[in-house]
Amino acid sequence: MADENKTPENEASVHDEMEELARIFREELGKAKEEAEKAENEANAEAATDIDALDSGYEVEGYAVTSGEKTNTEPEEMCECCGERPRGTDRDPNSPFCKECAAIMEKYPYDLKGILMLIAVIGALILSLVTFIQITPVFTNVYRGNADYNDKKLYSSLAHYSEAESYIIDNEISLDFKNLRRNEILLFYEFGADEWVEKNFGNPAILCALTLIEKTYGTENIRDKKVAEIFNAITETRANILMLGSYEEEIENDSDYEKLIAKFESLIGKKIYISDVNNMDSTTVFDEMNETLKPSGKETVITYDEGWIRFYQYVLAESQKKTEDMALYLEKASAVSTGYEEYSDLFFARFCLDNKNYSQAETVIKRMGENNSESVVYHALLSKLYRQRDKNYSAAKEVCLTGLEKSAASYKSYDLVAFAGSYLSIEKSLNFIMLKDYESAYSSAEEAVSYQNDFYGSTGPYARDLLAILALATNNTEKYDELAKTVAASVEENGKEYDFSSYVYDYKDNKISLEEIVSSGYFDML
Amino acid sequence: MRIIYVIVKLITLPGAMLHAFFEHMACRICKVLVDDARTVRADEMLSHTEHELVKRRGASFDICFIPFLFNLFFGLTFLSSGAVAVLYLGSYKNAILWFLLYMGIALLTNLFPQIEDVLMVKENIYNEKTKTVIKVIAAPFYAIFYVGAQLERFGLTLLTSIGFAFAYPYILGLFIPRIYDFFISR
Repeated sequence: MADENKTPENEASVHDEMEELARIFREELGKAKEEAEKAENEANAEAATDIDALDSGYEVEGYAVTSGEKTNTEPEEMCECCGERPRGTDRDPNSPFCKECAAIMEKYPYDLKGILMLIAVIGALILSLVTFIQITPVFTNVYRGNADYNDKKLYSSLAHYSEAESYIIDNEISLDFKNLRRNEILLFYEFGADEWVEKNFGNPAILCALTLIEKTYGTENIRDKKVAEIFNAITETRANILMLGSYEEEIENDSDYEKLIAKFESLIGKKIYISDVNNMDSTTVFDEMNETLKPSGKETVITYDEGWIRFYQYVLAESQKKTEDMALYLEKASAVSTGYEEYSDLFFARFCLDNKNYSQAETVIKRMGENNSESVVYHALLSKLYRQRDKNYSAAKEVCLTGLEKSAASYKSYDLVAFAGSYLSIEKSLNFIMLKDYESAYSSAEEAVSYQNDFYGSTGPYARDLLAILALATNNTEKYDELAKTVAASVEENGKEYDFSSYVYDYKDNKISLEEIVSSGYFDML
Repeated sequence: MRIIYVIVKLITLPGAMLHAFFEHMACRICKVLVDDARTVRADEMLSHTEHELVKRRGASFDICFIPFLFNLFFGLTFLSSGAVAVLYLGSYKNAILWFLLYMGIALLTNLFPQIEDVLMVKENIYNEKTKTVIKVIAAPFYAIFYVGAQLERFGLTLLTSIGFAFAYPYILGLFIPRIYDFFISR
């Protein structure tokens, strides 16, 4: 095949092609040589420029000039940011940045998100300040109320809480101050302790506590452990009073003493069923001995409280004038009372004072002072102790003044304290009588009347009678006549029980002295 | 630890962003070169501004102190209403008060400078050139910055600021009632 193609025409064309290729190669080679020469010339020219620059004092990367000689050194670092200009600024020659970049970095623009956040935060800050100013009076009063509560100054504490509540109402603050309500519940619960005695179910402090519990926490599944404990304690106390109160009729009717005492004794540990804690009466509260009502299993089950049983035994002993038993059951009640020490203590202290057991009385009264250093009951009993035991009327009077001063703040907020305050004023008046300062005694009696009028709209018989006696003692016939006229009208309208006591008439007829009236104990409020 | 740190920073993002912003502001006031001023980022520089190492004594202190001061002031103001109303008075149902409480905690969680800046303060102040008086004055600040920065590294400042929020109403109680009385009496 190869030999067949080997013709003269073919050989000529191959030759031509080779010639053409050689020509193109020569042309390209010439061009490349020209470019190489040109590049070499340019490089030489640039090198010459650099040397000139070095001679004129500049530093160039990779070179340093010493006495006109060229020496190779470490390469100089360029700006870390741009990489084009040498490092160093006027302020910091060692800066890793050049002057231009440093100027930009010094004024690096703020992040927009940061600016927006700052604006939002300033807005929220204004809101925060307004809110804080609004709640400051509440905070101030609650803080002080809490401090007083911890110091066992219950009346001052109550006054501060009441002030906070007034501020909330007056300024229509719609926030729920749950901790304030919680503290009020704790306070009212402690406060109510020495008031159970007079109004079992209508006890104002306990009713306040219950209302607050219902309003703030509800009556079921109370999460707050302390509040739940209080609610349970109140419920149990009410159930105990309800059940034991059913024996009051038997106590009053002078039933068989031993049998009734034994009956109370047998109740210890027995179960009480409460089917509706919100509506407690004889149909919803019953014990395991009840023959008509039987538990369905859904009731709240509690047991009789021994403290309350002992107290009712004391009431029974008192009704039968069994002094030894009275002391025994009061002591037992005091020993087992759960959360209601003040309640037993009040009776115990009174009993000890009446029976001239002053050392025991002092112990109990001091304990009452530890529970509430501002208690008017405590001050009134302490004054009575000083008056009866020590005949130290000045000290007794000072105790009354201290008690009135300490409890003064809460008169504004809680009228029961005001009423108790009238007791202290009467006690103070009795001390002035013994000090033969009848003018001051009269003023104190007027003070007691004023307390009662201000908060109850009427005067109790003891304050009225004491004022009448002291009006006679200070020759204030005008006042006596005014009181006598009011009493006469009251007797005409309501009956003879609204008349002055016999002490007033006896004193008027000079049958009894003022000191004898005080010593009789008729005007001893506690 | 880095993850916990970043998580804490993200939880308290408003505080972190503001701290970064104030740190940047401090850098500009002190003419310190800033590398990166993003306020939102998912790394250990969240709540801080990347800047050059500061070798000037005053500037290194200011970069730590100015953001600390601003965040502290803002944080305490928020806590004044948030902690008092929610934690002390028990206003649990108000969302705005919870928000104010959160803002207070977020700002107080991001009070402190990064540890490198604190060490720069130490290097710049506690040397032979600085007067003893300045060393003494700066000592409590340095101690606070150092402890705070160390706590912040482990995300513990979130816990300390929550704890502080509970204690704060009691601290306010030491003087606010007196100030209130002063204004009422006028």
